[in-house]
Amino acid sequence: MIARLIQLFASTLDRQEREAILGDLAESGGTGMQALRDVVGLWLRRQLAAWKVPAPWIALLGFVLPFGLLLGAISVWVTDFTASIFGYRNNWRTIDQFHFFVGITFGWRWLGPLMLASWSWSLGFAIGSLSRRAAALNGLLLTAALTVGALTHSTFALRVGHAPPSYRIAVPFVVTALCV
Amino acid sequence: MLGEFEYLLITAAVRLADEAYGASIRQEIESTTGRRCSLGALYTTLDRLEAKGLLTTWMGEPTPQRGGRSKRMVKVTAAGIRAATAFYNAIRQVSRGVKWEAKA
Repeated sequence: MIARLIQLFASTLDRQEREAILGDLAESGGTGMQALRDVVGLWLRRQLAAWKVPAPWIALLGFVLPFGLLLGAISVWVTDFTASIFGYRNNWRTIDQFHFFVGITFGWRWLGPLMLASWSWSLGFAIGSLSRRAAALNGLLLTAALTVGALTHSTFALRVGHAPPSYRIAVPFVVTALCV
Repeated sequence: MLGEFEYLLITAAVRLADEAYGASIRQEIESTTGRRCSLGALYTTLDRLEAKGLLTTWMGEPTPQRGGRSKRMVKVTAAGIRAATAFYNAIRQVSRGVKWEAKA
């Protein structure tokens, strides 16, 4: 486990630096925890150093925060569509199957997940292009913005009083994770 | 003016001469100061000093005791020697006549 974490953090370093660091750790012969602390420490310093230039701040203020919150809200809208599919499966015999099937198959609701996935890809590309070195930290902040954006908007399933927790809690996060 | 850790690093690299690289410099600093030296501090300081032109680094040959991985070799430049000498002289000057006795 520790060895995997070391490899994970080392993989974010430049190839030559990774080579030198892992070699130094092997030569020093310290414990796994000491090695992990060294690699994480270097990773943190590299991340902080990347924020000394304007590009990551532009990515954060211009893209991560506004579009993260927006995509979080949109993912809630897309959740409505997913909840419809769950409803279709769970109420197979009690609803108008034909019209419902046609509605979710050919209707405008398919556009939601596709648009969400496309916008998310574009957003990730823009953030990575602006600052590759700070992309990891901006990615974490984007996740936080998405979560806030999703949590501050009520979902279709939430508005349905009798909806089970799987609709109200799990579905929004699953949809967000899959599409974004 | 160099910082304290920059001075320690340059001094260790000069002392180690052809054997100056990441792990050996770290060991030298830890054994002489008795303080732990993190690889993060070491490598970011190496980068900073290299950017200032006070030392140069290059990748050496891989060795078996390092799992076949290369070393980042270090050589202090003439500018680095001058900067370290200036730092040492400043410390010596500022310490002249000072009695290191703690008052009760």
